[in-house]
Amino acid sequence: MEALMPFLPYIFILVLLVLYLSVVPIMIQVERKVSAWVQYRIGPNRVGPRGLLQPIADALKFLAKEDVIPNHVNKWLYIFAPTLMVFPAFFVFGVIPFGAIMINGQEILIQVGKTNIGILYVLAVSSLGVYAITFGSWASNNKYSLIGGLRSAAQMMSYELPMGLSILGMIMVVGSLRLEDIVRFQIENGWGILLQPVGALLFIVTAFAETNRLPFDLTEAEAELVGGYHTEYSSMKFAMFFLGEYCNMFTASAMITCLFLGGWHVPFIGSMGLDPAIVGYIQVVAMLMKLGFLMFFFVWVRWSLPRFRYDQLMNLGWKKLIPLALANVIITAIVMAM
Amino acid sequence: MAHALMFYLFAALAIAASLAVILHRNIFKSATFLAGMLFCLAALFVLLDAEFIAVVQVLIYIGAITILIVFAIMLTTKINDEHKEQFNSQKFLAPILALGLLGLILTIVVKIQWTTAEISPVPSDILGLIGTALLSDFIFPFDVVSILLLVALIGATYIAKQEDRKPLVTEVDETGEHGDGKVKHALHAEEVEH
Repeated sequence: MEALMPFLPYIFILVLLVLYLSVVPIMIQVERKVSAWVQYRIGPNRVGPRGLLQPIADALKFLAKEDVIPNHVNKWLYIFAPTLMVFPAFFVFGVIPFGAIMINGQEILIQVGKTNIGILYVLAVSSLGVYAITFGSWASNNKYSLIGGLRSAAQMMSYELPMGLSILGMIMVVGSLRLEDIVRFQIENGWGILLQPVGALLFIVTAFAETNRLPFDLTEAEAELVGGYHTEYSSMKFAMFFLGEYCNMFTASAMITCLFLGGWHVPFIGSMGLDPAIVGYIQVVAMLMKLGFLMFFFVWVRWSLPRFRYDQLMNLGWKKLIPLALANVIITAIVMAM
Repeated sequence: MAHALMFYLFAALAIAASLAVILHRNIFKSATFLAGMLFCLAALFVLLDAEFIAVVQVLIYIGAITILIVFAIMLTTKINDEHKEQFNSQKFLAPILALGLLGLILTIVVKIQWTTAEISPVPSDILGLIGTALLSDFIFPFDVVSILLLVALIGATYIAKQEDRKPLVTEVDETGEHGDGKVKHALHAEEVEH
């Protein structure tokens, strides 16, 4: 165990990478099964027991399919865009703390990169995601793709502002940009959703918009745009966009958990008199369960709500969410000053 | 050693990308290279232990400003014509001025006695220090910048509002069917209100 200590960050990188990659097929299956459940259907049930092997069949299909590069596309950007979609999604998880476990009486945080600017880093890197969509849409040289890309650029820029402002209230309360500090603060003072209910609501709404999920999936809007930015993509390149979307969802869930749902904290576990080593592992499982619930919530909302109209989306972002977030910041400041 | 290698790698990439920005014939790709160049700069900031500036660089310059440029290019038709004249009428004066500026900078670089000091470690609460400095010693420039941004914001809104009204009146299509008819109707209602 002692010998392993210097390699811990690399072990964490490996474990988290495997976690991220395995979340995607699980989520595809969950998405299909939950959508079937919401719409009173059965869902995939042919491949394997209860249809559980469906994601593997999907992955095999993506890998085995012919990789078509249409003649009219801008080749370099067309190939570059799907790669860029996955990059920020994977890059962000470095600063997310998944729990604190005890090794040899020493508390070790399950987190790859320890930096002072955790939240800003997440915001900055996830703001790169919009490039993948704009590049993909522009390089496709197709009107549907272009409209999808334009919508996406406008939407993500508009919703980054309320997203940043909604976190600001929480940062003011905690006084640190480190995600692990924010979680520790919540363990002592109660969960963020109780301290900053408006901030939490705003963040969850903007997280849906930033991940391009329904009710904000105007970039794809299959009824009007065929497929939006990925219309011209097929096989593994299309799968990369898919992968990016689900990884972004996972990151958004992790951010919501760390900022407003107490991170790895389990209420009242301290008063139960358990061995601290076991508590650490229970809390890691609790963190994963919270993430699982939020991912389910993303799917649940997608199949329950209709899509916004474009002007409604912009009105909501600029005229409702931003003023509300600003008011939240000001009220937080006043309460803290008193 | 690794540090120096990384520095030269990102510095070379930044120079190559900025050359590509001005020399590439396709304006969309120029914007792409601009984003790449800014990313290399952010990497250089990280190498200098200035994480905060690096992240802000990515957040503002790449995540907001360059994406706005890309957005504007995508909205403008016929801007992607690769046969367009790349240089404006200043193509003789501009290099002379640029070379003069380069000479000026080089003289400064050569003349200054660069003292090398031990690098002091970056304080852990660097953000707190920046915040306190901005709101105490630098409160006046900070306010001036804020007001400048506010003025720009109001100006942009005013111009956008003006643009909004003019072209609609001239572009109403007489032969248009559903859509245009509605525009006409809405315009008419607005005129009545006034």
